[in-house]
Amino acid sequence: MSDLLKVEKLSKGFGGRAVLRNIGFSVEPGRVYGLLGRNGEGKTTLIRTIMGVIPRDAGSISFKGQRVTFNGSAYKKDIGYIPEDAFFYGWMSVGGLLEFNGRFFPKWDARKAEDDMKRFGLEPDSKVRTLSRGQQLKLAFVAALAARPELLILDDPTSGLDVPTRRDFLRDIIGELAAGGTAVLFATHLVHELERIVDHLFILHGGRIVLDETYEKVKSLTRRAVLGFDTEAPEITDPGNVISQRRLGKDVELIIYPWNEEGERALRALNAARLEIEPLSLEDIFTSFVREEQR
Amino acid sequence: MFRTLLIKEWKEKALIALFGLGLMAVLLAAFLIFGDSRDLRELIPAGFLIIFFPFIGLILGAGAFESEFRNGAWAYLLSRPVRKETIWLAKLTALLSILAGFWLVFIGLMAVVPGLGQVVAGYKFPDILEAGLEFFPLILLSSVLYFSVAFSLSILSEKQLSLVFGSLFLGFALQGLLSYFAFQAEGRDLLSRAGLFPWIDAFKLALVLSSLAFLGASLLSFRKADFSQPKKKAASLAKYSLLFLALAWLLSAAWPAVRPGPKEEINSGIEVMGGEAFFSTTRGLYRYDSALDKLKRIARWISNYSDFVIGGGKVLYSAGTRTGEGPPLRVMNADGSGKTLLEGGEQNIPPINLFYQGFKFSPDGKTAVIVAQDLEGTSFTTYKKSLWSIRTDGTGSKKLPPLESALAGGKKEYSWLGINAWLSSSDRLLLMSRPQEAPVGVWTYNLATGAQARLFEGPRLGHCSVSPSIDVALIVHEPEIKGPIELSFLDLASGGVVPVMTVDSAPGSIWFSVMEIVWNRKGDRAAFLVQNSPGVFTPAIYVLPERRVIMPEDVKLEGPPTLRPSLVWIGDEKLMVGIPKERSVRILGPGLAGEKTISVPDFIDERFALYTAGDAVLLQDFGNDPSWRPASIWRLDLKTEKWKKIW
Repeated sequence: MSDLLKVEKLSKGFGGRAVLRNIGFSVEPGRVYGLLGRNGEGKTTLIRTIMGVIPRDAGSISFKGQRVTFNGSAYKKDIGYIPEDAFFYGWMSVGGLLEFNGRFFPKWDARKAEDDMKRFGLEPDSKVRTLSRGQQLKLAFVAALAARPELLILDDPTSGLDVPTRRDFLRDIIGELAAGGTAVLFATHLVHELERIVDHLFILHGGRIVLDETYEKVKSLTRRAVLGFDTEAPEITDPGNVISQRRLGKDVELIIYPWNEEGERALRALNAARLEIEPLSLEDIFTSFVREEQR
Repeated sequence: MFRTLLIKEWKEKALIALFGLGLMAVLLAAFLIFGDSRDLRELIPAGFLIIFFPFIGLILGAGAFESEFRNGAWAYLLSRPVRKETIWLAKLTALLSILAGFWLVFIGLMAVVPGLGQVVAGYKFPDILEAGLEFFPLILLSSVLYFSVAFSLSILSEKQLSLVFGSLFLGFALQGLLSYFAFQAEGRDLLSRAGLFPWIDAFKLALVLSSLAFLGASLLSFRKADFSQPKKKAASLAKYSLLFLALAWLLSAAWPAVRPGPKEEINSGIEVMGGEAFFSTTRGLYRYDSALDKLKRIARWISNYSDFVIGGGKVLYSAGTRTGEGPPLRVMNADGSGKTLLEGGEQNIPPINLFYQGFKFSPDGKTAVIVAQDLEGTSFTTYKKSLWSIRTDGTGSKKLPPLESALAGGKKEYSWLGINAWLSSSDRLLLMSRPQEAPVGVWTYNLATGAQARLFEGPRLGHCSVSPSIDVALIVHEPEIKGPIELSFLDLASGGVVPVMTVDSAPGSIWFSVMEIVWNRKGDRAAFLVQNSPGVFTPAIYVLPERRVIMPEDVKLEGPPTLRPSLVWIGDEKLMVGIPKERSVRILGPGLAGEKTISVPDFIDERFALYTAGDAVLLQDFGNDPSWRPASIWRLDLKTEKWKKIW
C-alpha cells in the first residue's frame, strides 16, 4: 500500500537543543498509528512540524506523494488535527466555529457536523469560551471529522476526558475512521488507551524513533525475563537483544526484543536458579523502550 | 477563504469600531456645543486628530494577532488549509479598512458639519517648523505608520499595553528622526514639490515606505518564523524591519533625484560661443558642438526656472531648486567640467538672480562681474545695485567700488542696469543704465579704480550691439523725445556718436524699428532689420570701414509684425534671413541680393529663429506654444540643404 504520509530525516531543535533527530516513518491509509513518547520527547513538535505550524530544520515530509513545504497549505485540507489543548476562538459560538471551520475544507460535511454535534451533546449557540475542556475536545473532534480527513492526527487529546468518554472516543470514533480508510496518528503518553485500537507503534525517545513496528509484532516479540540467582546477579551480556536490564539484588529483569529461540537458549544457558519468561503489556513495552537506564 | 477570514477579523474588532465611532460622536457633539468658543472650536478637532487617529491605529495594529495569542489559536489557524499570506492579508485588510473607515467618517463629517472642514483645513504647524510639513497628510500618514508598527509587533506578544506603548515610542522616534532630517538644510529636498507627482515629497514617501517596511517585515516574519520560539521570531522581525526601513529611507532620500521630472522642454534661447551652441531645458544644460555634430548635456537639473550665460570659455548657470528657494549660482567650463558653486556655499556674495541681473565673464574666463542687488528697495527693479567680482574658481568674491547714483538706482522708480561688454583692452566694463525717468546712459566702469565715465546719454535708448572687437557699438536711440529713431555708431574709446541712419518708423517703437543687429565674425559688418511699416521688414548691412549702409529698397520681407525675420551671417559676406511667413530661409549675397531659398521642414511652424555656431546654421522652432517655448532645434547642412533635428 502506498504511503499516505512519509517523514524522512526530519530534524528540529530549539535554541541549539536538538529535539528531533533524523526522524523517519510512514503512515498508510486505514491504519491506526500510536506515537508514544514521554512528556517533552517531541511528539507535539513532530506533529506541529507535519502540520506546518512550525518550520523544520532539516528533512522532508510528503503527503499523498507530494512534498510538503513549511508554507504549503493545500495538503492540510485532507488532514484533521486535534491538539492537546483547546485552541479555538473563545468568542465564537459552537455553530459559528463549525461554519467558519467548514469554509476551509472542500469536503466539509455539514450534515455530519450537525449530527456529531448532537451526538456529543454540544449546543450550537454556546460560546466556545463557556465550554468545558472535555466539550471543547468534542468540538475539536466534530470539526475534524466533518472535514472527512484522510489522516487524523491526535496530539494527546484525551487527557482532559473522563475515562468512559475516552473509551467511547477511542473505540467508536477511531475505529469508525479506520474502517472508513482514514489513517490515524495518535500521539499519547497514556499508553493503555491505545492497547485495543493501535495497529502500529512508533516510540519516540531521545529525539529518535526507537521503535517502528506493528503492535502485533511488538507484542509477540517482546518478553520480560526474570532470572533469580543464589548469589549476586551477574552482568548479563548474552543474549544481545536485551533492551532493558535491571538488577534487583540477586534477581535480574531483562526486557528482550525481538524475542526468539536463540535468545531463550542463551538465557537458559545462564543456569539461573529461577527463570520466568512472560509477554508484556503495551505500557510495559513502552516503559522498557524509554527507560533511561537501559542495558 | 480570504473573505471568511476577513469577516472573522471584522467581527473580532467590531467593539473597537463601535468605540471609535462613539468617540467621533463625542467629538461632533463637543464641536457643535462649544462651537461658539473660537479657541475650543480650533482645539477640539485638532486634539481629536492628533490623539485619536494615531492611537486608534496603534490599538487596531496591536490587536492584530491578539486572539490567536489569547485563545491559543495559533496552532488552529496555522493548521487550516489556508496560506499564511492569506491569513496575514485578511488581518491587514480588515484592520486597515476599519482605520480607513474612521478617516472616511471624519472626512465626511468635515464635509457636512458646518465649520469643521474650514477649521481643519486651517491647521498648520508652527512657523518654527519651516520645513513646510502639512498637517492633515502628516496626521493621516502617521496613523498609518503607527498602525503598521503595532501590526508588525503584534506577532510578538499578546500584551496589548506593551504593544501600544512600544509601537508609540518606536513610531514617534522614527517620525522625529524623519522630521529632524527634513528640517536640516541639506534635507530640505525631503519636502521638495517639484517634478511630477508634486504632492509626493520625500517626507510623505518616507512615512508611507516606513509603514510598508514594517508591514513587509511582519509578512516575512509571519511566513518564516517559528511561533514556538519567541526570541527567534523577534529577531526575524527586527532583522527584516531594519533592512526594509533602511531601504525605505534610502528610496525616500533618493526620491527628489530619481522621481520623474517635468516633461523635458527647452526653456531658453540659443547662446553661441565659437562653434558651440548652448541651450537649457527643464532637465539641464546642453552643449552642441557644431564641428563634431554632437549634443551633450553638461549640467543636470529638474527645473522650469533656469538660466545661463556664457563667455570666456565658461558657463555660468543657475536653476531654481525644488524647494523654490533662491537658486544657487554655479560656474563650469564650457565642456561641463569644473563645476563650482559661486553662491550659496561659503562665498559671501549677495543674493544673485540671473533672471534679472547683469553678468559678464572676463575675456579669459577667469573672473566674473555680477550686478548684485542690495535688497533695499521695494522690489527687484528698485533695489540698489552694486558690482561684485568673483574668480570663476569660486574664490575671491569682492564688492567693487560703488556705482554712480545714475547707475546704482535704488530709488522708488524702476531702474535697470546691464553689463554690455568687458572691454578687454582696458579692463573696463561697458554698462548700460535704463532708469524709468532719468536719461538712459552708456557708461564705462574701470574695474581697478572704480572710475566711471558716461559715453552716451539720451532720452531713450533701444538696442546697443557691441562689435566682436569690442571697440565700437551700434545703438538705436531717440535723440529727442518722440523724435525720429536713429541708428548710430558709438566709439567705445572716445564716446563719439556718429549717426548712421534715421528711421521713420511706423511702429513707433524704439525696439521694433531697428532690430536683430548682428555683427559678422570679423566685426566689419553689422546686419539689421528695419521695420518702416508694420509687418514690412527690410534687411540692411552697415559696412564699418566704409561707414555706409547697404539697404536695397526692393528687398522687402513681409509678414505679421509679431513674426519678424531673423538674421545670421554665413561667413563674413553672406547673410541668411529666416522668413517665418514663407517658412523658408534665404541666402543673400554681399549686396543683399537673393541667391537661394531653402524651405524649412514641413513640420516646423512659422515661428522660428536662426543662429550660427561656427559654420553651422541652427534653427530654433517655437512650435505652437503660446508662450513661445521652443519645441525643437535643427541644423541646416548648407551643402545638401537638408535639415537635421538635433533636439
